[in-house]
Amino acid sequence: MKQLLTIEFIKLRKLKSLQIIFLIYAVISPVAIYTISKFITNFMTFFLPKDYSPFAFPDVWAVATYSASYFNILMGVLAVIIISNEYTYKTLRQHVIDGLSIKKAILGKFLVLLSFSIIITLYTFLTGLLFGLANTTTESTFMSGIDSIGLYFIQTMCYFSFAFFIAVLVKRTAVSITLFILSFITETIIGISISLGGFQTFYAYMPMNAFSKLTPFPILKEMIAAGQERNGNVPVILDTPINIAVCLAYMLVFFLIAYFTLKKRDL
Amino acid sequence: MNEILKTEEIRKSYKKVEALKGLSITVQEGQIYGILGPNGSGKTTTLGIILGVIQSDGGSFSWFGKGELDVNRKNIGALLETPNFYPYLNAIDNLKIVAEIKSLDNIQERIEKVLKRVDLWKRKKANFKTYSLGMKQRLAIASAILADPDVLVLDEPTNGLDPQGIAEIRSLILDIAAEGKTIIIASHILDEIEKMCTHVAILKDGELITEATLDEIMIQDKVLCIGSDNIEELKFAITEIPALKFLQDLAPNILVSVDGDIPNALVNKMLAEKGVYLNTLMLYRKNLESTFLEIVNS
Repeated sequence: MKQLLTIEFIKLRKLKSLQIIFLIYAVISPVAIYTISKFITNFMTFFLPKDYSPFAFPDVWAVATYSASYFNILMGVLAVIIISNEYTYKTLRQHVIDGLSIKKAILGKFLVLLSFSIIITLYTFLTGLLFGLANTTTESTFMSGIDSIGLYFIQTMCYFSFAFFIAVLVKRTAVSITLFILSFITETIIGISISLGGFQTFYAYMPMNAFSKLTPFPILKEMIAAGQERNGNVPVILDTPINIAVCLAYMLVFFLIAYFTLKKRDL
Repeated sequence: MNEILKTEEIRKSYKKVEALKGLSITVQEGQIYGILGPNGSGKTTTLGIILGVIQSDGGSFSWFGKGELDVNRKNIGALLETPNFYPYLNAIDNLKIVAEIKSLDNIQERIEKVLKRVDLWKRKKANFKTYSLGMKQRLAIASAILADPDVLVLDEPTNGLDPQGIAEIRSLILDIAAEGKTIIIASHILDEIEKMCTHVAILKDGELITEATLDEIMIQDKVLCIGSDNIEELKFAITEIPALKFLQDLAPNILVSVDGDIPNALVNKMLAEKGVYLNTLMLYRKNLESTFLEIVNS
């Protein structure tokens, strides 16, 4: 494992797109947390529960992970670039020629994605922690509501698995990135269309939607409750354990398809 | 002599095209083994299969008598088609990756040694994308010899190089061969193979036409360069003499192969009996190119 991480570290430390995307993430992610919190408190007062404070524990975790989840698309693009680069430069082929097994090559990429997930989850945790420590005036500790951070970690791995799957399937960087982003838009359009036809439950099980609902909009439950009171057409949100199971199943499927595709295909 | 590589009945198809139709070859230790063939004959497919990047449809191969294990390739240095490196990394970083894959020790020393050997030490910190074609090819050879492997597999190693670059790479390969390494080279540049190889396999349409030492292949037949005032008549007369076989035009004359040990005077007599009088008749120094054309065209 150390060998694979060393190889990936040599490859990635001078990759410009990685440096730029991580810089964007580091700078804009806290700004996004601040902006989204302000948006909720200024424009959604109707739905706000009593004593809601987006900058303080425990609410800050939901706000921080929801805000950071937007950047998962950016991180997914980075994952696509890293994997499709191996095809563009034909380096995956060369690694196999040099004696690396396909299994180890895939494990190396999986470890990179896992490392990215850990890094951005830790960063989101630290950002939320700083916001929380600076603004919490009640007795709430930083541990309350911290499960959102765990869900955020699962979510990043899910998006990475999808990026991995697309990059392996398509191989070309530009096409893979376009397809990766289009998948979100396409699924949203299909999901909304079928939801309007009464198939909200089906939409809840669709992959991108299931992934995004791991870190839902911080006051989504309150908004749904308000919608139900008015007999409106509200989205179905799966119970968290069920949603986690669905997301993990998708993640496994995406990684397995990518693995078997790579194993079977000529390089 | 130890057996380095043995392929048995390897087959590969791309949709409806049969690229390899049951190829069996054997490479022994210390040989410089050339795989020859026109474009599309299956050279690169063969190398791709034995290097683990193309899946065969059938048959098997074995490196060092140990089967098809991935770990075997750690003892093989290979360049398949083009040099493949990260363009944004310099020579040292690119070679470090290879060294890690091959689980080498003394990485810095090895890198310095091979970069000096291929004359890239002065450009060690320049990114790969800034290299000329010749430099890229030399870095690929540095990468192939980094682990001091027992076997080198090179696919068109002088592709796209200028004459000086070709001479440099050829001399490098011969130096490496002099250390007792086994080298497998695929090329359609026959002059290159003739100057380097000890053994040759000739492929055509995915099949092995012949496998022999270079000397055995070169002395199969005598080749004559002949000419007359009417070349078309001469070519027609040749078709009527079973002992002679037209090889190629060599304006204003033609090359023919002669079966067995027929003396030149008898060739002249046979053609004269057909009404064709030669104005040129000389022994043509047979090279691999004429042999290759003769074998492939037959």
